[in-house]
Amino acid sequence: MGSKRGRSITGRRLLLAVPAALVAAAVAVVSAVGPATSSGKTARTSSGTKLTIKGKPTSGGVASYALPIGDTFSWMLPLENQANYENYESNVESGMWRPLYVVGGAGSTGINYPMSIGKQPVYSHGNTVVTVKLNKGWKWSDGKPVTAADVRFFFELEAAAVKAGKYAPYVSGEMPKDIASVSYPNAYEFVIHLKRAYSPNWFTGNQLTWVYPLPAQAWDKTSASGKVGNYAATPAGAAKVFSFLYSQSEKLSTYSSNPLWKTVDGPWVIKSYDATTSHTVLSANRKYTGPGKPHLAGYQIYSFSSDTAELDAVRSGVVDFGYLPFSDAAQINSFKNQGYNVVPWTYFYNEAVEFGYTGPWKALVSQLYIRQALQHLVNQPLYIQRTLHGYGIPDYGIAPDYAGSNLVAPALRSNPYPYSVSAAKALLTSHGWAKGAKGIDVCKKPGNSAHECGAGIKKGAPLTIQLMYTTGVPSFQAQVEAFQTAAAQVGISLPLNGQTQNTMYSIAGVCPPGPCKWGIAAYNGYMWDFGQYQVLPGGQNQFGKGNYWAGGYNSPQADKLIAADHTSSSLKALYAAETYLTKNVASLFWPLPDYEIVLAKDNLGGWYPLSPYANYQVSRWYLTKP
Amino acid sequence: MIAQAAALPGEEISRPSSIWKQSLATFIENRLALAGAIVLVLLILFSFVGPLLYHTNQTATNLINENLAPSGSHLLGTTPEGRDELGRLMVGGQSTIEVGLGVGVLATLFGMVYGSVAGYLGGVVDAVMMRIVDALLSIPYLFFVVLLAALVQVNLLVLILVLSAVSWLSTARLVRGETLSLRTRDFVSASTGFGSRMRHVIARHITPNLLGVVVVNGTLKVADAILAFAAVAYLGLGPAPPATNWGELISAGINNLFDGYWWQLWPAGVLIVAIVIAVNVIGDGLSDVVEVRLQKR
Repeated sequence: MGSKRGRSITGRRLLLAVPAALVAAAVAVVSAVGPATSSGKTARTSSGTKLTIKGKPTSGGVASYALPIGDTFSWMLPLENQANYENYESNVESGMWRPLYVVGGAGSTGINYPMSIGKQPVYSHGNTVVTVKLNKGWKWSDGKPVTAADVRFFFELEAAAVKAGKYAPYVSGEMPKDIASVSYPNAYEFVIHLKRAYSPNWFTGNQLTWVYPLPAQAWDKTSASGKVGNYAATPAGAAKVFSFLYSQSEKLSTYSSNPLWKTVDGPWVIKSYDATTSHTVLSANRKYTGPGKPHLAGYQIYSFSSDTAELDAVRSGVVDFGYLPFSDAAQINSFKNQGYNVVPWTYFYNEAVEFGYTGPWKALVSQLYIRQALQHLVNQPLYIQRTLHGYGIPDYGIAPDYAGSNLVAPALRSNPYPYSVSAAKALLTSHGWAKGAKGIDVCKKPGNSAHECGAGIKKGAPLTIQLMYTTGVPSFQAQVEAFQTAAAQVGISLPLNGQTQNTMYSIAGVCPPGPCKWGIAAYNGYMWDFGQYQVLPGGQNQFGKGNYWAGGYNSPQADKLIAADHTSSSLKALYAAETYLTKNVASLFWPLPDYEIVLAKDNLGGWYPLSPYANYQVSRWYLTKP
Repeated sequence: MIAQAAALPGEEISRPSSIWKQSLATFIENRLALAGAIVLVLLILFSFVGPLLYHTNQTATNLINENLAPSGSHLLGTTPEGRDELGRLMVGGQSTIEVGLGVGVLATLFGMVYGSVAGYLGGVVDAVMMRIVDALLSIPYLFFVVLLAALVQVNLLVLILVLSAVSWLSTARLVRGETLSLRTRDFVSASTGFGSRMRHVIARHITPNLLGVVVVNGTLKVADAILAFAAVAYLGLGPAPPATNWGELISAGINNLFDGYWWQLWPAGVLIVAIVIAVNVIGDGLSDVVEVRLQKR
């Protein structure tokens, strides 16, 4: 497994000891194949993969990109609702409407200030006042300047979106509820007065990154035929404006014709959209005034319902930048021989499998010892080695174990619950479980004391928990089945309920607030993605008070530790929160696969180094000619 | 007796054979149908008796053994989860055959009752009943399956019921047409004239005369159900693992088609093609049997 990438899991861990050096080196090496190159070049990626771009870079042309299986771009408004709170949505949106703070760059994490509208924020008054100055020179495509008035317009709409319950990034107590007031001293500056002191790192990385200056001069209206005004200045007016914009974003068939979506300040603008296939074409914004002007004249986004369909599109030449499913890793050399660049895309994510704390299996999954037993049955090294063929890393908590990152708590640098059938078995037997009919454990000692089954579990109750999982991805299917097999060895029955990813979202995505109609929910890919809305881990959205992921997990201790992390500038607060959540097995921590194995044609350059936030950053792409 | 009396000296006297013997003779005469029946029997033995002779663990996975090529220890290699492929084909055959037969029987029975009632009663009742059929025919069966998979835990019984629910429609149409023709025959009119109730007429006079058509149609339903089940399983909407079927095995095989793991695709593909062709030619043979003009009398 590891040999294919030139490193093993252990080797991956060693990368942590040489933080930014490798990433920086990779950037330096591969910059040799950037747009400035005058002829074909060969370089190596940080993982040792040979990268070849043939021909001379050109300006213009249209390249194409394949979204991961099941993903579709289907939301315009950069105020995402719960159904569209996805990195692949914000990747496209942020190309049209530039966030106040762009996150990530070529192989780098954190905020990308050179590419952002906002200058680095200044914190004062004991971190209760945040002053943000805007870079001058940014203009909308209609020629109007991007000013603090556009930020004000965003805050007005954001408040309306939160009130309407249609703003996905919002978690109880967070922005805008953590803001007392915002003042606008001049056209290029705004000052946020916070209700309490927050850690500047956390507030900048996990709150200010939500802000998108929006074109008030084109969007402050309440109907398509109505005139632009200053409606959003009042809460009632803002609600109407938000409702109108929201409804327009729902009208997929009008995406390319709606004049609203033509006023942009980013490098791209929508050109065409197929509401049936989600095939999206964007063209370069000729009036883009910011840094990093696109080399391409346009790009296309394709969606696929299966790995096979996507790979066929790559083979047929429809897709310039696609991916190779992990289960097809044996074909890497074949694609290389055909002239493709094949590169693993590692990313800054974490992976977890949710417990349904409010559903029919809540009595079982609420028991810490059962969660611990289940965590002992996740054979992370085996899954990575055999199903991902080395293209993944172990994940023991909420902090992504990204090369060069110091965010993983020292206590979680090794697995606190290593794979051990005997340890899992011991946990169950010591709490009153014994083998029953058909090899499934049944509770022999009901009760709430230390060596009994626990609250809500009756005598004779079987240890059966439904496991809902995403179908259609062979590597993930193999992991789930291996987990089921391991569980069966200790008497835990995990009947599988396979669903498509979209159905998973519609069932598991509504819990909370609704009851979880599943015992364990395993999404393929990821549980939590970092990026435009969240630069730093903290666990708030997953496990904090008012979370809407993690199946209704509720722990006052976790709330306390998460809140402490938001106000402390020390990593110790983060370490304490992530260590507690892992030891408490708030979710099952699961191996994190690479985002994908990139398959890119050798006449496409500029895409490497890849963004750790899974943003393909198409403005850097260019095509070559012989 | 009459035949014996009329026989000439030295002429071999033929005994009257039963309808079953005549039917069997006619069926055997169709060599393709006979071959189909033999193949079907072999596949049933492979699926249901095979696991008793060839022992494999089809419940647990073993990732260490994933994608192994055929060898002495795994005659047809292993699956991506490390299970023995040959054993998997046997287990998969069980559910495939069960669904095929289950749907064939259920859809045929319900379609026959529905169609005969509609055809016999005619008029407004017939119009309403057949418009219901038309409406249901316009809904793709995959829609039902996808919807159901999201609502309930799909298992074999649920799939048999769902596929039956969409398979009886064409049978109902066919039977209704035949019944419209039969109900005007003299023996039906006579029975009705003597005061027989609808239930009696349908049970004693209509249904027996429909059996030939229905049996042939039923065999085709079996083949259709096997293909539909394969399609559903191919889309990942079949019963959850460790259960399997040939459609699901084909799906896994296609995923690995370009990896060179031929044993994960072709055997399952060949088995599905074999059983569908076998059932279809059996249907042809049965069609010969019920065609009176082809029977030796």
